[in-house]
Amino acid sequence: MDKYVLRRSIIVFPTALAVVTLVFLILHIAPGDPARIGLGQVASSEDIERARAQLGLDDPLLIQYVRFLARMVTGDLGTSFITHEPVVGLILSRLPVTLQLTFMAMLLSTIVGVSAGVISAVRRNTAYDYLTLTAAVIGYCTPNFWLALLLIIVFSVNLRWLPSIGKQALDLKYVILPTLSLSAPLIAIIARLTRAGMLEVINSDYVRTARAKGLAERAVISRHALRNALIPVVTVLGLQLGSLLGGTVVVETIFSWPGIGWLLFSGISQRDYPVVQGVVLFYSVVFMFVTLAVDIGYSYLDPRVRYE
Amino acid sequence: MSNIPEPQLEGLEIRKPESQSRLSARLAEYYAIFRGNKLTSLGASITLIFFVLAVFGPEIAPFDPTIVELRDRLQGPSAKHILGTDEMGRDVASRLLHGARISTGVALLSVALAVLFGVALGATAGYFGGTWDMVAMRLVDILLAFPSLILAIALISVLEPGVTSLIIAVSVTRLPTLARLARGSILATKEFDYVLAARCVGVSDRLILLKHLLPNAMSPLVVQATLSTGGAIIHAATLGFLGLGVQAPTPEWGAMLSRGRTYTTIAPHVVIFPGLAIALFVFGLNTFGDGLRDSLDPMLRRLAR
Repeated sequence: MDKYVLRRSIIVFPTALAVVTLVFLILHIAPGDPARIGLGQVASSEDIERARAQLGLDDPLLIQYVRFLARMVTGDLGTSFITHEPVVGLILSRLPVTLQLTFMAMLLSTIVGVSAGVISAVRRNTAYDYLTLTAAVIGYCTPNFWLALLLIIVFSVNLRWLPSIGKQALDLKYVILPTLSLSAPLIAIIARLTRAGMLEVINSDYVRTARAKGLAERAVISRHALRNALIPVVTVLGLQLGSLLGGTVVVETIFSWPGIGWLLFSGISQRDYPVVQGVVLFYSVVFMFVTLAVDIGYSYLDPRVRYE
Repeated sequence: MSNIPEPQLEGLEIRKPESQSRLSARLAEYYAIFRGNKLTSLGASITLIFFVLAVFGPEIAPFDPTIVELRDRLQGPSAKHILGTDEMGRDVASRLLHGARISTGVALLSVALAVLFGVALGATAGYFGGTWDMVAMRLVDILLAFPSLILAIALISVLEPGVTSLIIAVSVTRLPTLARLARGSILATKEFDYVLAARCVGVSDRLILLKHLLPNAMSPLVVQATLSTGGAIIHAATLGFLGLGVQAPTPEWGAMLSRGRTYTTIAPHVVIFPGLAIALFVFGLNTFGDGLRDSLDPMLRRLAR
């Protein structure tokens, strides 16, 4: 393991600790008494007193913080105020749904975005190119919750082709609209980035050499130009996972997908703070480690970053 | 987001600064930004129209946005209600016009806050370096460790719901990028001779930062702030859609969409128009910002030659 990778990996831990601390602090300045929310409005004040003591809410902040960290380390994210189930279980049971949605969105964005970008760059300044660029600008500006609703109006309400709500495992019909609404901005970003990268590379000397030695155009593009043009795309794909995770909250809520995003949404509407805290931490930690992986991967794709 | 559209630079080469005063050279440069590029002009015009609507919209709105007229609920566009009515019979066009002020205000204020604190943080970190630089940048790293919408949701879910919380939450998500950019610009310029010269004649750090370094870092910051405003509008609308933003009955674009989504089958216009307003505004800001970047970013300018 070389020095860059090591340094970059080590720095993740203080950042993670800071993130956990920040989330702890945010949730502790929250208005509303957790004990009261947990017991409901009818609880007597003695009951609430007892619950506060039980939850350790009367202890000093520092003690609560240490206890919180200790629970974190053992993978305990607390229990839901509403259902009284462990938050970790709630998250893990919804993970496959969100994982599927995010993965499909990434896959679709990469395939559509990269191919549209490459064709656009190769046929620069043609009608196709302008069409792609326009579509990319529109896709980038459209809020995904609006796109989701438009898709429902067109494909579910008017054409009656696709279901607007629900999730059936492995039935592609239910997957199309949510995936499309989640990935539209990412498709747009990747298409524009691929096009820009290709244009930069396509006029470089090594591409000219490849052409000069008589390589077929297809091979020049796919084997020589594309590989270098894709380096920034890989980075952006990782960084955009953050927007995708944010997008799952909206998309899962609209399409009634029982995933982590929906869990967060219902947690907020019910003021179920342990659930909100758990999901926020989970998403942030996932995002942090993906960013780390991208950085390390990038240092192999483009060794120059290691000599900063 | 480093998506780089083709810069159009024909317009830029014609100016002759030596024959002009500084002011008219500046004006010529701004004019040149729009001259060669129809898209930038379009973006700027759309942005301008929305700003005008934000200021005068509530004045020219034909109806009170909160008046409930249940007999007229969910009507399609007509001569009386040009964009139809919503689920409580309120005029959609009037609500959109009132919402323009809220969305624009929230976006501008949150970006202004983010610029203020982000630039203060980034510029001082870049200029003074050392421990402060490390502390400030770790802080930025922590903010960047959250997916931005998730951070906004976490913040807003514990603050009292309302406009102020919305502005704070959105502004925190905009801050890290601006701070990093400010730091980078200061780092790139602080070693120049004119800074050394200023220091030699005893100019204070504060003045060097404010009078010499920041003005030169302005262009990228203006571009980033413009692009950031588009993102802020989407974030604010998303939070409104999730019920975390501005509370009813105040007309806000995202909240309008969220209430309208129950009626997609019978009254799609309730959903179509607010979303169109958001998308169009963001489109205007982004194309304007992209155009500005292409014209002001000297590195891109060189690349294009």
